[in-house]
Amino acid sequence: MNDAMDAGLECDAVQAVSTPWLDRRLADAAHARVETHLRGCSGCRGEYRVFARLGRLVLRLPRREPDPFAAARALAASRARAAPRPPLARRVALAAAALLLVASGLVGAYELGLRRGRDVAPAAATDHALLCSRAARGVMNDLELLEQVDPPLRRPLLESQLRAFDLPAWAARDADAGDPDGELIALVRQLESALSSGDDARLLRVRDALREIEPRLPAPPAPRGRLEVPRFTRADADAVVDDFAELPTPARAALAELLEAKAAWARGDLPIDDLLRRMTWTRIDGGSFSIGFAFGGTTLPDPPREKKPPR
Amino acid sequence: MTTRRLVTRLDGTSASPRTPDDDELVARAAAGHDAAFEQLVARWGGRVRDYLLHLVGDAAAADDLLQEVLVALHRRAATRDRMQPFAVWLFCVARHAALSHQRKRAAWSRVAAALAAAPRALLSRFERRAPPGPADALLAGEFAAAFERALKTLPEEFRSVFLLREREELSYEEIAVIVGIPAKTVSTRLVRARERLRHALAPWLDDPGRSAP
Repeated sequence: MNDAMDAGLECDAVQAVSTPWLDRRLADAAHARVETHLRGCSGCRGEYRVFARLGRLVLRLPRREPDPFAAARALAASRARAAPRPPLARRVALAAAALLLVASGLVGAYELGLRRGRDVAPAAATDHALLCSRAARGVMNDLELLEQVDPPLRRPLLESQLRAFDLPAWAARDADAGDPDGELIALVRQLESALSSGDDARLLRVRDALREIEPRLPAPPAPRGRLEVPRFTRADADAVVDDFAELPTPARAALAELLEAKAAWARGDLPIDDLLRRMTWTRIDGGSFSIGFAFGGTTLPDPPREKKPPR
Repeated sequence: MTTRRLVTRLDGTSASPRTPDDDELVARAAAGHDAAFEQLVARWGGRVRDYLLHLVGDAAAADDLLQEVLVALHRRAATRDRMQPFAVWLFCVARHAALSHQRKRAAWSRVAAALAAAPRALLSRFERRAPPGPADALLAGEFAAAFERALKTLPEEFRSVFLLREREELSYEEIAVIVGIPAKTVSTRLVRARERLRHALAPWLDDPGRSAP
């Protein structure tokens, strides 16, 4: 009989209280009895030592401090959030006019649209109704582009689009009578419902309904032959990307670069091939995503044609 | 056997008398004193980031989440319920941010899975593999890597409790508030977490000749 048995405790009982003993959760008397047992029982002592060692090793793991600018960034972000934000419709419209975050399947659709060389949307618009019409066209374009995507990809893509554009939150508000974007809000709600149902036919009906209301939305100015975003700067790109908080950091960075590049291309400062080369890939959760872009809310102009060298 | 850590100082009162405590810094930060906020970040940023990193297992995500927590600290800490110590509130915010992130990441994973079926020919035209991120010093050590792997096998409810106890040295009662469970359940989860980790990390724990990096 060892000392532990003398102390009146079985090894099983002692080992069952290792956690509360190590964490000093036992009453003093019980703590002392276990301690007495441990002094005389090498087996239990070994068991306890294992757990104590685990705690020590874990505690000794180094910590990496945040980078030196973490506080400054947080302060800036906090103050930016405190500042009044533009109406959501404007942000949606800006996002729709500026970019469409598309996954890889939509790259084909992008190229398709590029070949079509359709009309061009106006430059930076400020009129509320016009912005709403842009948003409507953005959603419609999404749906049209989705037709180019394999059916199994449509729902996840559209869901990610809606989330990225924050359209559900926008459509959750009550539209007043005569609200210029009231019809669009109703359609976005239908879109969400169609997505939940998993019925592609319903999605297409929403698209058709969007096409139907499009003529009633303010028409964009006449095509100018080129998308003009003369004042679209990196700061604008960052502002748009800030709205995509749910995207991982690499994706947001890639997105901002693409927006900037797209504006440069639209100004004629960047050849289309360079723009395409800047389409960036990032890796999210082991799956490949293309952070590409199309032109939601606007349509695609003809790509700038490279002049052939004279023979 | 070494004596376990007996005292946990959570509310900044461990600081010397000349050092302002957390609540004082929070109040000053809320009043617009950036230096006070920076002091709070210096005091707590590493610990919160460490907790987030172990919860989400991704350094970039941990940095993003840390920013969210710091923004919350700047905006909301001054109006929090003072019944709880500052650290409890802070880790509570961090845990909720991490759980929210995990939910969103799960949604992205579903999209990623769907996209895996996209035609490779189309993808290959534009594909450019992202370079691997910089090696995280935290994961450099053998034990650290083994610990990370073992930790990932634990359900979040065990992981959080273990980390808050062993890394942050919080009391059962404080962990109970953060995780939203009774203190008794904290004890139960700790037992299970330690048992699981003990088996997963047996080579490190059973062989006294082997030491952590």
